[in-house]
This record gives sequence, structure tokens and C-alpha cells, in this order.
Amino acid sequence: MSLLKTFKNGIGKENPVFVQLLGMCPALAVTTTAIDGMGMGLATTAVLLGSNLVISLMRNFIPDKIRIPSFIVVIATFVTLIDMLMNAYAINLYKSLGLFIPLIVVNCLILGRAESFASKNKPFKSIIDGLGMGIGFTLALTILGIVRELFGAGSVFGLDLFGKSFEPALIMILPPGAFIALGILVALLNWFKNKKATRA
Amino acid sequence: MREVIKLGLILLLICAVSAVVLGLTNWLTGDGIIEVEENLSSEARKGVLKLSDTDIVKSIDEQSLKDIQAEYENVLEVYEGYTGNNLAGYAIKTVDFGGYAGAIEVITGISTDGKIISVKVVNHKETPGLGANITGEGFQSQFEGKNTQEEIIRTKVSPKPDSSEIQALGGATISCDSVIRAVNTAREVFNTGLLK
Amino acid sequence: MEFVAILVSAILVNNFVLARFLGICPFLGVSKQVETAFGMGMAVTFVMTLASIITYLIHRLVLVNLGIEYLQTIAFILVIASLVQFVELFVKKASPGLYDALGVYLPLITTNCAVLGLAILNIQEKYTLMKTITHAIGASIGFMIAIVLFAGIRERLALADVPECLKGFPIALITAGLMSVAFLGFQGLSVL
Repeated sequence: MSLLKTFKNGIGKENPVFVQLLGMCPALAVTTTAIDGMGMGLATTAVLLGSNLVISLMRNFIPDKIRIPSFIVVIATFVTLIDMLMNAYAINLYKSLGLFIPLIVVNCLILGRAESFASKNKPFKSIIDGLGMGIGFTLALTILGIVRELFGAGSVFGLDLFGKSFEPALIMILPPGAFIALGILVALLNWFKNKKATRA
Repeated sequence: MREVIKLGLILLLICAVSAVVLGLTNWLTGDGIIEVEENLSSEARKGVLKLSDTDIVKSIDEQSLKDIQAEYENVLEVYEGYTGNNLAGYAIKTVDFGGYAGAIEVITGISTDGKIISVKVVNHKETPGLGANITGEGFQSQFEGKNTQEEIIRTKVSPKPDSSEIQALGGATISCDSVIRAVNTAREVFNTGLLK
Repeated sequence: MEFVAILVSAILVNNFVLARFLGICPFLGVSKQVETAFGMGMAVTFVMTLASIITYLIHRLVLVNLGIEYLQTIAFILVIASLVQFVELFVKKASPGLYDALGVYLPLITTNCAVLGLAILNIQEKYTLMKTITHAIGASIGFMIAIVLFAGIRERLALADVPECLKGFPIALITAGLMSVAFLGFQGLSVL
């Protein structure tokens, strides 16, 4: 696959959240506001880039039998790095994302890309794949965050859009809203896909 | 057998490299993290006392704090704020465990002449959109200027002017009551212990 | 009494799946049949309880004493990964049927955020060993209830006439949303 295709793959065709349905836990938990969703997406992208690069560089050195534990150690290292850096330089986002920063290590997306791409491809291509998947993930979380924040609090990225008379649908920023918002978004995407298929 | 040892050693090597990298980062960022946390707390204390960045806040001595905590167990910190060399007031951090979803921590700034300068809710787990609004200006600003001599009470209607009544937020009575209790604790501490 | 409060909180008020969003992947993935869901629930319960105890001990005895708390994430996830390997071997020998039914989802318990999330929460809430075990039991029961209930609904849903674009995950997510609304009702529950 050409580099451009690899990159676009992660954003559209194999979007981690909307198509592969990976990384559900953070997608549902931290998208109460658009900025939190985006922040989580970027943090995950950083880890993904780091782990894809290192695992690709080490792909001939790691014996097949211990590849999963090795991947886990590499990923966990980057997660801890990002955790410490955010604690020191992005304290507000760090507090909003809380528990879900260390939980990036169990985001099936990262282990999945390590297993299926980085361990079998050259470093530069792996970086592009990581970038594409990461941006796709960030996009998905940001969109979900925008939808939930808009209907649940009447604002987007902290900017009030509707003024005081707007009664927000509070449920959107509570747990049920996460499930319902994502369900409707995936349903909409399926609808578009089916329409395209029947037209073709 | 040899293969297992070889695999084990390689894994150990990877773990060792990882541990070194993280140890290094920890050493580099450790101080920064402590500083950031301290700055946030310090900003909050200066904020409730309406001091400027250059003014100083420092904690009262350990023994005095212990004495206060023996009387009022929900007191977490007591800081004195100074403008220049003059004592401007006290920033008292109290906790109340009766919030809707658990403990709520509040810092109350009280001036030396017995008026509440302002309050700030610093830690809570209340429901976003409802109880979480206790951190908003609309609720917290009601405490400003209240007299420490009278107990603060919650009302559901518009509070009488110049009274010690605070209007609760719609749909968040429990959260508001919790904050009011925390502020009242700070008020009582000021009334009994600190009037120098 | 505090133990009852921890149990009620983990099972109902802060249900791990429907309120805390931990364990969503297996929740959505292994819930097409009640029997498999129950088996998965049991496996997760076993892993979660054991993992909680081991990670707690490692934190207390190793990480704190050596001042290397920042290695928590790595240490915990390695413990969990090893534990899951062990459980896999055990299930393969003890119940090959269950092993086949769970398929790829058994090793995936490693990446189940519920297990790691629980381990980290135990440390954050500064629980004692007994409270940690109680919390683990509560969390697993909560997970089990959620996944079995969900499987029951999905079995019925498979026979219903669902619109094309909602089939599969969308309707499952919306169903989970409605279950979450139901569990929201437990929010004000406090055990004195």
C-alpha cells in the first residue's frame, strides 16, 4: 500500500472507533466535552506513534514467542511517559482525563496496530500508519465530544452557543448519552454506506 | 531450556531499558510536577483571599493546625495571607462528606475583620450539569461579603439582602448543602481559634 | 459496614460497565448469548479478584518501598498479562467447551480496561487489602450482571425486526444506553 493510502486508511476506511469499534472505553468515557475528547485522541496518537516506531525498529530483534509481552512493555513505557509529561505540562487536561490516561495501555487499537502493522513493516511506514490511525481516532472522539457537549451543555469547546434560555439534554453528558450518541453516529455511517452500496 | 532462558533474558533487557527511560523522565519531570500542583493550590488560596500574585500565603504552624483539627475534624488546611507585612486574612480548606457523590472540598477566604472574601470549591465528584455547577460563579459568588458571626443557611427562594441566606441551585440541593456546611465549618474555626 | 457500601457502589451506583465505562470491549463482544456471557463473567471475576490482590501487594511491598510508583502501569499490566495466560491454560484443560466458546476473547481479558482500571482505582482510593478484595468482588459482580442482562436482551433482539442501518452495534449501543439510564436510578442510593 502506498504511503498516502496507509495514512488515509486510518482516518476513513478502517477508522478505529467507527469501523473497527476499538478503543470504546475512552471513546465513551472522556467525550463529555469536545476538548477532552480531542485531548485524549492526541495523547493516544502520541503513544501510538512512539510504540509503532519503536516496535517497527525492533521487529527483527524481538523473538516471536515473547512478542506480545514485549509490545506491552513498549506501549506501557510510552503511556507512562505521556502520563508524566501531561502531569507536568498539561495539568488541566491531566485532571479531566484522570484514570483513562494509564488506561491507554489497554486500548486494543495500539496493541492491534503493533501486532498487525508495526511488527511487519518498515519504521517510516509504521509512523504513517500510526499517524493515520491516531488522527482517525482523534477525529472520532472529537466528533463524539462535540455532539455530546452541544446537546448536553449547549456549548462547543467551551463556547456557549445558545445562551441562557437553552435547556440542554443533560443525559447527553451523563453515561447513557455516550452509548446513545455513539450508537446513532455509527447507525448514520452505516446508512450512508448502504446508500452508496445500493447506488453502485 | 536454553531457549526459555534466552527469551527470558531478552524480555528482561527490554524491561530494563524501559525502566531506565522512565526513571530518567521521572527524575526530569518530578520537580516540575510537584511545582505545578503547588502552584494550583497556591493560586486557589490567593484567589479566595483576593490577593495578588506577589502576596504571600503560608500555613499556620503544625501544632496550631493539630489543635484546630482536634476540635473540628473536617479542617484540612489553614493558611494565612499577607499583603506586605500585614495579615490580610485566612484561607481555610474544609471538607464535607455529605455531597451527592461523596466528599466536597472547599477553601474559604475570611478577612481579619470577619467577612467572607470568597469561596472556591476545589474537589468534588458531583454530577456534571447539576451538582457540578457548585463550582460556577453563580453559586460561589453568593458567599462573598457574608458575616462570619451568623450561620449560613440555604433557602430555595431569593435570599433576603444582607442576610446569611444562600439560594440553592435548582436540582442540586444536596450538593449546595454540602458546600454550605463546609463553609460554616471554616466560619466556626475563624470564630473560635484564629482571632489574633 | 463500609464494605457493604463499597459493594453497593461497585455493583449498582458506579457499575463498572454502565457508569464507569470499563470493560466495554468484552461487554459488546461476548454478549450475544447468555451462556457465553456468563462464562466470560466468571473468567473476568477470577482474573479481576486475583489481579487486584497481586497488584495491591506489588504496589505496597515493592513500588512504594523502592519509590518507583511511576512504574505502576508497566508492573500492573505485566501482572495482568501473566495472570490471563495462566487462566487460559487452566480453562483449556478444565473446560475445552468454554475455551472454544470464548475464543479470542479470553486472551483479550488482558486488554480489558476493567481489570487494569480496577487495580489503579484500588490504589487511588487508598483501600486496605480487605477493601480491595471487596471492591474487586463488587466490580466483577457488577460486570457480570451487566453483561448477562445485556446478553439476554441481545438474544431477543436477534429475533426482532431491526432497521438495516441499526443492525449489529448501533442497536446494541443504544440498548446499553437504555440500561445505563436504568442504572442511573441508583445514583442517590447511599448505605449508612
